[in-house]
Amino acid sequence: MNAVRWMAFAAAGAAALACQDVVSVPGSCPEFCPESAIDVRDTLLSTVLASSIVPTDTGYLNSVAPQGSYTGYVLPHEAAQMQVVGPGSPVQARALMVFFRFAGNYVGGDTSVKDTILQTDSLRFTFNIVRRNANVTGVALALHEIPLDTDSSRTFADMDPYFQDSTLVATVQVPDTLVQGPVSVTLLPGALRHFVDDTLRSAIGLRIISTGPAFVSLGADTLNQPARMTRFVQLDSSTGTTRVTRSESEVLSFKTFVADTASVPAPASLRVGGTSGARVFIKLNVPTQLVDSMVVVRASLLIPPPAPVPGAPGDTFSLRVLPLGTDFGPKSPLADSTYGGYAKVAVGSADTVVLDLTRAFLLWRSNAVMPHTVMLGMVRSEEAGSVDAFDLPDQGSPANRAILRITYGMPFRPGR
Amino acid sequence: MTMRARSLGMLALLTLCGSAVARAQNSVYGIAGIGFPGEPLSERARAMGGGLGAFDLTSAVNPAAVGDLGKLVAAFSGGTTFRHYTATGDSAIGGLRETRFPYGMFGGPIPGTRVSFALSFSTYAERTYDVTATGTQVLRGDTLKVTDRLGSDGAITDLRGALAFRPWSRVLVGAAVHMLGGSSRLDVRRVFSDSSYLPYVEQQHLVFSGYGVSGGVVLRPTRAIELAGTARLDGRLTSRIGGDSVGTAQLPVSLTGGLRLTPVQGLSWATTATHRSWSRAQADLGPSTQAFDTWEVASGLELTGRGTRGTGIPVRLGVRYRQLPFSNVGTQPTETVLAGGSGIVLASGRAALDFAVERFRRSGGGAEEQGWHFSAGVTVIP
Repeated sequence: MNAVRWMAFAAAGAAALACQDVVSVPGSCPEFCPESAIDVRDTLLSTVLASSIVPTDTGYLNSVAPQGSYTGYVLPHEAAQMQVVGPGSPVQARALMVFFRFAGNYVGGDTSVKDTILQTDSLRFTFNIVRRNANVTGVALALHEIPLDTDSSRTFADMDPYFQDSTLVATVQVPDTLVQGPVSVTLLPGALRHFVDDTLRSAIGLRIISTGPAFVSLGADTLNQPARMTRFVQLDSSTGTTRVTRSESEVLSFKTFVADTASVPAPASLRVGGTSGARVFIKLNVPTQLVDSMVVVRASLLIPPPAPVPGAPGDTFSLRVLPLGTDFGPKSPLADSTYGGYAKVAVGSADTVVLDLTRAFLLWRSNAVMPHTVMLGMVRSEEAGSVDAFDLPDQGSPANRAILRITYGMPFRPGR
Repeated sequence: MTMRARSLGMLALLTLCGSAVARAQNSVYGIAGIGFPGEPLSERARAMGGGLGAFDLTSAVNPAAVGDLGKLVAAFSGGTTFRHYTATGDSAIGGLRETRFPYGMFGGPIPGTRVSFALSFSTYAERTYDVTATGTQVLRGDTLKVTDRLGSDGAITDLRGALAFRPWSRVLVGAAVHMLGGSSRLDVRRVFSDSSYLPYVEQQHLVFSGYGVSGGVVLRPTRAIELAGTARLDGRLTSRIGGDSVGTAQLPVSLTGGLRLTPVQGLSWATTATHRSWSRAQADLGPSTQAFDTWEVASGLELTGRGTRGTGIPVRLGVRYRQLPFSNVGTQPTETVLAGGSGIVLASGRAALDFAVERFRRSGGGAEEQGWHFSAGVTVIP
């Protein structure tokens, strides 16, 4: 009986030990490593010299074939930012802002005061700078009064008459040390012709005053803190014995920016970004075997700009590449953003832009029916929010065209 | 079967079942070639170092031994290996464990005939390893540090169906067919020092198949002397991934001879020697893997005391020396095993619980590996 118990305990002990196996040990190669090795290679797909967007029966002649440039996804008045670009740049841009109407009485929600406004002391405009070229000093923002009915149909030329000295209401000096943050200016109510008791509204246009080419990008959505207008008023206290001051703010009812793009040369091929927020769709002619059978560990889309990148001098922007979920033209849905890649591009640079497509290959490997087509555009927060653009090279030029660089592992075969 | 025997059997099965889940480590000598050769031995034969293999009716070495099965018998055994090794240029690696099902069989007489049968499964070659190696690779003009992890978890199994009969009272003759099967899960990874590169990850299911035949004889010229001989011819082992063949390897011809002496009742000494022509696989292996023919010699002693109703507790001792078939260098590795064990008979002889302890040492090719193998088996006569 004792022997039986001893063996039972031994068996239980063995069961407990059985689940504690060691996972991995250092290999002593080559003596005690598997004979097969991981084979990782690197290749460039740019072999065929042909015109760019000519489809063939088997696909596109180039490994990278632009399909088209499309706009309308985000319009300037819907953008998260708006850009003001000063003179001296190839492109000038001005911001247009219309604020909501203030109420005729005080609606600040403060029960310790009466709501009848006795006097409006001053008005303050606050603008949130999200980006600017910090190398330029002495930058100022000029505030002009513009029509209250300003809308998205206005062009740079339409608005030019409203940016004269006669409409100038104030200037705001941007501190040289300020790259990101709010700037504000305070005015007397009489400085604004439109801000009268009948309207209690204001519309402001912004332009840049600077000695050199400069730009300022302003926040235009909730995330980027859009401009606001604050009214400082005098009220009676609720007891009627004391006069007190209070303030209340209104935000933008409409905002946009207009650019003078007449001096910008038209792109030789397709253009990404700009004030229209254009997106380019590119079909990648990737060998099926590379997608299905190889393990792609890194894939890069290398795009040499045909000329220095146009835009606001000193600005940078983020270009994104994202695979399409399905491909049926401009309205094709995009894949999840986690499969995309990004690249920072400097305006004026002629350096090749490298966009990461590694995760797109993961997606394509896991789903064989997905098209090998990608979208090139600005990142969402910058789309249609600046004059910056990125031009694609003509794929017909063998010396200067976009190519795919793929680093991949061969299928592992034991014993080989 | 008594309650006690039933509970012990269940406990032993639980021990075996709980062990197959975790990733494991087999011998460092199992990384090359088709793997580390298994031993189709019962617990009793294992405790005798394998010396009893050519005569043991519950081992899967000699199909003729099946002729001794007078009743239906089922036997299962499993074990755990604790191992450490040192390799050239590296510090010692210890704390390695592996738990597997090495062996199981079911057999007995075919009613109304003089023929007995046995079905068994055993490990033909173990293919479990998980090694990590570091190195460098130049990609896109940059030298990157890479860490490779190559893991394999599985084995080539040998499913044997054997028939044997006794043409004369002192002669057993048997034959068997062997179906080789099994699989291994490959997990291959490379991680780059530059996070711009995604890890290379490949997970594949490698499936093995092959066939073999064997035949054998057991002669008993006297009550004290037994002789055994068996030959096994295996064909080609095919490896497939997703139905596509990724390679074949020629398997060896195995020739086994044995001598067993029983000078007095309760004392038995058995020796088994085997030669396998593993070098036939050389043409199918990569250039860096060397395949060698192997010799294996095992000898063991069993002392059985006289207990009540024949339930005396035996003492088993044995030793085994064998050459190992594969190496990535020119030196052929070898293994030496010292074994011991015992067992108890339960349920009035209708069940038995055996255990074995083996101390092994493997060396050659720039490494030395030592460890313990603890195993236990249940034999049931329903």
